[in-house]
Amino acid sequence: MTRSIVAAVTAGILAGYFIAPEALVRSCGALITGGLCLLLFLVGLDIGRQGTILEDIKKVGFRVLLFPVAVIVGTLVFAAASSLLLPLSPRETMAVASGLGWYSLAPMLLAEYSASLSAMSFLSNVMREVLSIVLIPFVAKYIGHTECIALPAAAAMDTTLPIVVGATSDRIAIYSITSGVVLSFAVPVLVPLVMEL
Amino acid sequence: MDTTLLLYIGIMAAGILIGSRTMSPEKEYKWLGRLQFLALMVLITALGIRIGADDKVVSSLKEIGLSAFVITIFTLAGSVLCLWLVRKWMGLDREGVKKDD
Repeated sequence: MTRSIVAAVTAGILAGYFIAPEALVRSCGALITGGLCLLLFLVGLDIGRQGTILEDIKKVGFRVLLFPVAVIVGTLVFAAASSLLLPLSPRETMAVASGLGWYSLAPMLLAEYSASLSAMSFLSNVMREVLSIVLIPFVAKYIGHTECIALPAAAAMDTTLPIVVGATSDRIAIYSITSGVVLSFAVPVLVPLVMEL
Repeated sequence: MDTTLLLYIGIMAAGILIGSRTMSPEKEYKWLGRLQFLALMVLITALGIRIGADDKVVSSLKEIGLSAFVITIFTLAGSVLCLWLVRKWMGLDREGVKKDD
């Protein structure tokens, strides 16, 4: 999966840089909107199909919603702090981080504000997923099981779910999915909200 | 918060509604995964083309990558720390089990 993503973005960048017919670049906007609609619909089908999110939340208690809230707070506060080391404003670093690992959606939402922020958002959110996969076993072993779902954020409900469950236990699956779903819904709200700050 | 955003959220909500009404949680839907992968690849390639066609972005790709990396490390550390605090506050042990259970 990671390899396909890297291959696709590299091919795209090379094509955009060396070939770049104006018409193709301009039609990318429509392609992105269309592709995004399709992807969001399919992600929706996947969430709806499991159909038990609300019951799951009821079963483990609404306190489980504190986990995604903690992920958002930790992500935004530390992203703001990272601006001290970078030639970026806290608003910009928070905008990049507010993608919460959803690299196919967040960069598109930022594209209308700035091309470099959009590219940074893509790279950062892909890195979040890749580094999560690497770090989950260590966090599970040395810090705690629930903390694992904080690493991939929105991706905790799908791509990284098998890794989280593999490194922890079945009981964490329910936390991972509910947190991932809540965070996925937060991304399209959070990104524009941070940019309006 | 513009109309495209409402469109995105609306489409996802429609997917959830249709998925919960017409699909089963037990059955495996291979086409769903394949179609998701295809849509993802198209999106990522289109995004790459946009990045590659933007000279300003290309000329600063190194700095953009470095900034992205620093932000990512900070966000990972921050989210784990915050979740750890919440876990302690909720009285869960390292396995996520309530201590007095």
